[in-house]
Amino acid sequence: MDDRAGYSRLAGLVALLAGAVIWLPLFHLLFVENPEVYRTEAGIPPKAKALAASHIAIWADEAGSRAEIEKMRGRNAEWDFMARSFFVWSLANMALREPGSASATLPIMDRIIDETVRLERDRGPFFFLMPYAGSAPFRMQPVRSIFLDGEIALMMGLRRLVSEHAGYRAQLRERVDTMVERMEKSPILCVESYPNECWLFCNSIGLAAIRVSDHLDGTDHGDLFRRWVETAKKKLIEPKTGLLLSAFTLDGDVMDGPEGSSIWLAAHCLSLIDPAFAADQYLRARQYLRVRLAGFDYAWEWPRECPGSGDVDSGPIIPLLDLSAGSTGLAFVGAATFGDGEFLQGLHAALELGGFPIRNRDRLKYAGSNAVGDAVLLYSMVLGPAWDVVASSLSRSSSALPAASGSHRLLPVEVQP
Amino acid sequence: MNIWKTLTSSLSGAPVCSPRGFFDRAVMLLILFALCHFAGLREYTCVISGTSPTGDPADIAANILGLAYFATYALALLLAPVFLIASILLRLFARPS
Repeated sequence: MDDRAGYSRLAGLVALLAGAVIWLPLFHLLFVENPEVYRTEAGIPPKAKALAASHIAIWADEAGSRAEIEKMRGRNAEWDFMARSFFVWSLANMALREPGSASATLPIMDRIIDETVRLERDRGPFFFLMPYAGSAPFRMQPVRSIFLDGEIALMMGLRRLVSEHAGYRAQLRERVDTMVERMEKSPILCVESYPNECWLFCNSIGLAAIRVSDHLDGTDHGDLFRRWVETAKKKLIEPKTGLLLSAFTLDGDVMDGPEGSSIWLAAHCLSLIDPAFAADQYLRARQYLRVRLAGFDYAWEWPRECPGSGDVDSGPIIPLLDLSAGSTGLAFVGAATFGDGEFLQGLHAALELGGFPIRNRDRLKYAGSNAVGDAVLLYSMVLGPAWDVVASSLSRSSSALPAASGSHRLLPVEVQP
Repeated sequence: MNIWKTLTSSLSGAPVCSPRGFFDRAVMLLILFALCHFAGLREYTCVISGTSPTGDPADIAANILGLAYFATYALALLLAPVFLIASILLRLFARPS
């Protein structure tokens, strides 16, 4: 009797082990998508169309849709702002991909930009910032946050790439002049997002906005870009990884080491400023932050060499895996920018597994994400044409910096083992 | 009634390490996930991105519902198929007791 029970238990354990050995390496195949679902050279990929349809419903004020935005504001007012930015940048790229869609998307872009600027003007610069923005004075006065100036300027710039808008021309010029003036006064050529806090994320977006403005208005800030990159290489690199720091004071003192929630987007923006430096940063981020597990890809927030502590940018860190929602979401942008198809496929497989997609007719949203997360994903699926337009004009100009390659034509990056 | 005991014991009363025992456990995990899914808890999984399903970050109950969905989803996806495969393997290869 004991022998039989012992045999049954042993056979059961062996069968379970065999079941795990068979199933676990295979189950990612359920979630691997054809790349054309999320990334196409021309036109808008179907997944992007469905995500965009959900966002358009939010901005069309369909019943209950704006509640998505309010849910996020409860946690972080920045997410409300960034959902606007990424969505407008996405719409601009979609209009460049399918010019016939511009007549429908331009009014949405204008509405979002106008409402954002109005809220900033009426409710003050702290409306889209976290509450601690008011806990100390900004060192540069009057108060301006490059978090707001950079993203709004890029919204206006990309909108103007699709079709000229006289009102935004003057507003873009004012924001660009302000950012440039303040960068020139800073010892590290970076500007505060929060009091005495300069964030790589915001400053790299600011630089991209200035570059877009150069393309649109014929100005040339090539010298500033060159000095910015030189300064960053000297003062803003974490020595163990070679990655850019994510936050520092106006004097360049380290506040936060490299973070996934900053570096992937910074590499995307810097690809418009110095493509070689940007590609190097992307490859380092990939080396130190990418995780591949059972056919799925995700990203850590911090390299093992310089660990940090969780904050609202990283999002919750999933235990055991150390998966950061913030870093993983922005890794889509980095991988798409640098044409890293293998990483992108693994990320999309992970998204289908753990993003909890909800499909409703022609719409798609990820329940595991939020409006800003979905806007970032949408941007990763359509980015490219705007950067290409700007880069193509720069390659014809006399700028001392090398022109950026067409981002959606896949930079020839080599992946080190 | 002890709900935990009901959930963890076999539907048929078969021993754990038997084809029917494994099959029953796979079915129970799938039923548990289906209950959470059809109760609409998928919407609550935004907790994994740090967003409160109700907009109130202090709403613990909503966060627990999101995590419950996440847990049953993971069990149904990772463990239930392993139980099913093990059930088939046992039936095919194990010596009848």
